[in-house]
Amino acid sequence: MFFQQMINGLTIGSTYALVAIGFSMVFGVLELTNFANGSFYILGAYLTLTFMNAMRGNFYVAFAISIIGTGLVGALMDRLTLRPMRKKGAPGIAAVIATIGFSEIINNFALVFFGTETKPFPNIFKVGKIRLGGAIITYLQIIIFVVALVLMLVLSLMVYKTKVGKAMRATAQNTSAARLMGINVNHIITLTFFIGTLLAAVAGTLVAMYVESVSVGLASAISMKTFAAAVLGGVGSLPGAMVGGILLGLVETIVAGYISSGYRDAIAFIILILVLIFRPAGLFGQKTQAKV
Amino acid sequence: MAFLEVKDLHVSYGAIKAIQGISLKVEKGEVVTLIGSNGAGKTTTMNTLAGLIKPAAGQILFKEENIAGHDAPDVVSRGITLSPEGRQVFPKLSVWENLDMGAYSVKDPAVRKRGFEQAFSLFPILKERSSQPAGTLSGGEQQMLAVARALMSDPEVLMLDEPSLGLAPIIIQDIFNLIKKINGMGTTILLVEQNAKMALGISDRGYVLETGRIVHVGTGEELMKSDEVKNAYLGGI
Repeated sequence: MFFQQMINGLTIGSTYALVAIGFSMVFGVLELTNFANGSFYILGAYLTLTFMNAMRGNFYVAFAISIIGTGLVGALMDRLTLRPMRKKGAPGIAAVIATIGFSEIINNFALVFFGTETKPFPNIFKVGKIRLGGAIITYLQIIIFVVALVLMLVLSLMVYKTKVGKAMRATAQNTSAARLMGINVNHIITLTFFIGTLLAAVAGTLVAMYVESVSVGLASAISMKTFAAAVLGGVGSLPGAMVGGILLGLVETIVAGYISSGYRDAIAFIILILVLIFRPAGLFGQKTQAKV
Repeated sequence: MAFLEVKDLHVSYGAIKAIQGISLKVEKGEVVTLIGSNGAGKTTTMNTLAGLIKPAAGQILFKEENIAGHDAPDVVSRGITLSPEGRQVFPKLSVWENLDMGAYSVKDPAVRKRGFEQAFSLFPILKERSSQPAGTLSGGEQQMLAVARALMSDPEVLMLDEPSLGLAPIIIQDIFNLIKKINGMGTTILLVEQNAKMALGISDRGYVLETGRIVHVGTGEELMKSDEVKNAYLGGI
């Protein structure tokens, strides 16, 4: 039973981690709390479903179009709303409100186009499972975990080893110095939004398949939870976002399994608050450095 | 036509006019210094030349092209690089990565490689510290890194904003020796300094800035001898 809960928690936690990474990357570069991730998450799931239906079940192509399309919507959100605000030196809170606004717009469009009811989502990997010491691991769970792990690995390599990744970190640490190096900061920001949003769309699609449904109502809960996961790990830290996401998933599933699924979210957030009382910067966070 | 020429430059922050029509010239191979007290507009001038701030009016002519209002990355790719006030190294990137970012605009790998060799020969300490996060360096080392990082773009004009700020006198001497050495290798230098005496000592020419206007112009020597400059900026030596 415990082992089974751990596996379920790891599965859902790794999808939280994906969204939290995107959140943390954007936060790192702009110090912006992006509340639109939950909407990109459901948008990714809806678009995959729509393209899949349009292409008679070709999941892979539908998935690719969906995550790239959603990524572009994320980049567009920055271009249309956030960049003009930055240009005018708007206070940070204005940008946060803009992400909430953009999120509501997506949710509203989703309600109109995809309907208010929960949509069934096909699980195309319902092909088998492995029994391991009394627990059952489905192929889909393995796929979700592996996809999340590979994406985290690829992203870490990109951020820490490539030129564009270093430029992202440089921009995050000191934007005006980055400009003086010749880094086109606007391109870096657009790319960061694209990647962050794409990750949310990947997670949204995988979870929709896992729970075999998608609904607009998920959006705000996902935004809050992945925000919490990123804070738990230490905002701005990629390893922190990964660990924070996985921990949140584990805690949630274990609480739901052993106590009651009704208390799931409450207890997850109680633990979050407790961690923050003792480690205000999160598990992997460093004391915040003032930006020069 | 001068190598770098600023004509009647105006810069405003909202309603505040920080720079009110300054003009200056830098010839190829020169060391030119801007001195002035706090708030005179030295850093604003440098940031505007570097493309961080857009001027309200005026021209910045570099090799006969007006680059006023061009964005910082474009200015760097044209050959003008600023080492900003307060060093501003990337604290969590390693020394090596900081230098690598300095060469961000350089396409030719041979130029890049030469840049690293030059940086490590001018600043041997940076080689020793190359894998250390820049935030863990001492103030003097960070200043050396900031200068080395700016040099990585292989600039024709190197602008240095207060390279001696907050450093011990013995280190300041090192920094000024290095500036002379860099200039000797053919790089034109535009310097902003509060340490007017040392700066004018290595300068071909200098400009004195006061509340957004240029009030004195002269060779380094002339300005050092001028009573007004002596009293106001050299502590009445």
